[in-house]
Amino acid sequence: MLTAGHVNFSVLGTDRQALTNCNRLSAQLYCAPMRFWHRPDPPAVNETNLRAIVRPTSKDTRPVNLDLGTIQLPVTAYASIAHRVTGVLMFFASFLLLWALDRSLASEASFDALSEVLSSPFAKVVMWGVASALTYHALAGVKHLVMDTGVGETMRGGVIGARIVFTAAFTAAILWGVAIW
Amino acid sequence: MVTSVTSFSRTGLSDWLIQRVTSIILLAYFLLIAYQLMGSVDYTSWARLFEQTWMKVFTLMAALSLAAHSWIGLWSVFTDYLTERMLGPKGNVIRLVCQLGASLALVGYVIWVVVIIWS
Repeated sequence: MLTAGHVNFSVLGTDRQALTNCNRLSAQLYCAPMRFWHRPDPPAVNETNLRAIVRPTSKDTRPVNLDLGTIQLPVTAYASIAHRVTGVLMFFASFLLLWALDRSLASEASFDALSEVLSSPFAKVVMWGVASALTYHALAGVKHLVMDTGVGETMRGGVIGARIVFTAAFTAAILWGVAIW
Repeated sequence: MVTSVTSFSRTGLSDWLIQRVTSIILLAYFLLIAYQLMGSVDYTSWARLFEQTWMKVFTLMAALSLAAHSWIGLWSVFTDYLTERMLGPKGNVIRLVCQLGASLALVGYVIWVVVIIWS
């Protein structure tokens, strides 16, 4: 579903139907899963339980402010944030990778000099970090490609996918450590 | 807020497709590189690998993919966090400066790869 990441939370007019739809979407995306995702059959969000889930003490049905600093985020949110952080890291790490490619192909002497530089403890830590970040980013990217085919698009599917990616990336980070040291 | 003007292909649908095509190219390239680095690498075999035309073309494709993929990814990050809502009145200026800097760096990356591969 192409529009999955582009939910519009800024509906602030007087259109009650739009507000209800927006609230229901917020609840389905965030509130219901937070409380109910460990259950085998999370309850569907409807008019009756919407208020209890979104604003337990209020009859207000306007969209809820999703202040990231004050709400408990689902594991899918951390997977998404980590995907962005590792992506930005890889933008900067690409400079190091290109420098290494340049040195490795310039001449046999520069190749040997590069091997020397990369055998230092600090360089090994950097290599491990870059390899682990790239692996996480790639695994999370593959999860996106799988979800594009319609697999794991539900909240439960997203939670399972995020856990698989985190577990696989953690294992890969250990394996990179073994390979480098 | 008009932000599509600095996006890679001007439309979200096109950016979405480019992001996926380039991700597959980059994944294939990094898997190949990782496979090559698994064994013990010496200069002769490493240099011979990059002398072959298919590897030069593959490397250039990966560099172009990296540029497009990073542009789209960074644009998504910049337009979410480097905004007037997050940073105040200077938000848009800061975002455009960052976008310009990132874009120049990515063009530099591609040129650098061309120089490495064909010099």
